[in-house]
Amino acid sequence: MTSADDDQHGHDHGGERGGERGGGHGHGHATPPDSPAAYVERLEAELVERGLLDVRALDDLMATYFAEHGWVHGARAVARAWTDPEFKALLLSDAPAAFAQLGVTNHDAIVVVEDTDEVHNLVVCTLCSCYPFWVMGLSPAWYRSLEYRARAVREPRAVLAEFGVDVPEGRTVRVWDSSSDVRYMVLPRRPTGTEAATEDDLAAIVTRDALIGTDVLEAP
Amino acid sequence: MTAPSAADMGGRTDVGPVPRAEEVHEPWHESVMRLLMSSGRFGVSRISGEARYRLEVLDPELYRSLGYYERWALAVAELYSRLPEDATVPPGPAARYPGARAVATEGLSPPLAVGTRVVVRAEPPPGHHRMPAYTWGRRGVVRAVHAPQEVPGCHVDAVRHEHVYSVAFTFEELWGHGTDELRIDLWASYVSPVEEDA
Repeated sequence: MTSADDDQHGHDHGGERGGERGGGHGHGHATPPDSPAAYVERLEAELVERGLLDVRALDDLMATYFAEHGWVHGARAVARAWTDPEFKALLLSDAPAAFAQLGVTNHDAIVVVEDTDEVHNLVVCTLCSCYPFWVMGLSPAWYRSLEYRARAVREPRAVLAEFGVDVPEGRTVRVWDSSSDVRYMVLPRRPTGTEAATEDDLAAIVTRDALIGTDVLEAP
Repeated sequence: MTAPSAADMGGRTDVGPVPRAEEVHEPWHESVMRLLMSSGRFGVSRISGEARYRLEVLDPELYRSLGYYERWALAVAELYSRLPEDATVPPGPAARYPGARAVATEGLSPPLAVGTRVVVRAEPPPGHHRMPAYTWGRRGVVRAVHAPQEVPGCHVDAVRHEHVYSVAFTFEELWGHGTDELRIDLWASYVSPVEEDA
């Protein structure tokens, strides 16, 4: 195990979280500043002042990351897949190429998995909170919760029940643990009663949670 | 016997219902993400995936007491504490998260074929890895082969790549019951082919 020098004290963030430092937990790593907000804002300001960080250069990335309806690209891809069989085939076989057709590009690997009458897909990252923010926006807080990360892989049906999703017996729940640089998105089943809907109409009913697997879509 | 890292939550039973409150967005969350996503520019990581590793080696109680942005603020703080006094602006894009992008396939053995039955190693490699404890020693089947990726925990000056497999496990194999299925991406060195059913 590498051991860092723990030299964040040089920034004088004013005290330690009580009882943690030197408390015998055996690692000797840094404890968090009492106010992480003040700490990171001070660190960022320092880097900007030293000319090392250009905040504006990251505006586009932050806008994508923190967009209010950040899953629009994912929703658009789903709606097109529901209405265009060729696009659907591409989305399932080479998702980056399919997103590129929508004008959405990124260097991250992504795989789209299809819900069917036989399979209900559910995405999690048990080791951290990996999530394809560039097509789905900011991950919801529950996705990053310790509870979801712990339980989604062991008792997905109980978790889904908490979200109001009842997966029938005989339909397999397939859980995807996002452990590598590959990200996962669900292609949900198209709701009945939407046969006449346009692609725009369809995109509007796709929810963020359906792209993760914790929502089943219904016609409006 | 290696213990699961503080961050290794998969399959833990000592947690309650999934909390559903939406998060209140605060400006410092963006600072955390900017710092994290820029950290790859400054050479402050010693190993591949080190931002995550800083969290994995935390005291488990401390890890669980921190919120999402507090955790990453801690990782960011430690990485940037290594920034030299005379650091200059590195070339390249503003956002460069430490992690695999360029892929080196030369010298790699051919990947296992889809359909190969594999067993996950009983113990994870030392240091940073991406092999959750619930997979240790379990048997699954290779269902897809991804492009090669950086091996987590390799030294940044000696980056190694391996094939990564999407491996399927039955719930029966993982938990002893259930009819559902799990898929997880595992690096080639995490698994071995199974010759015969034991």
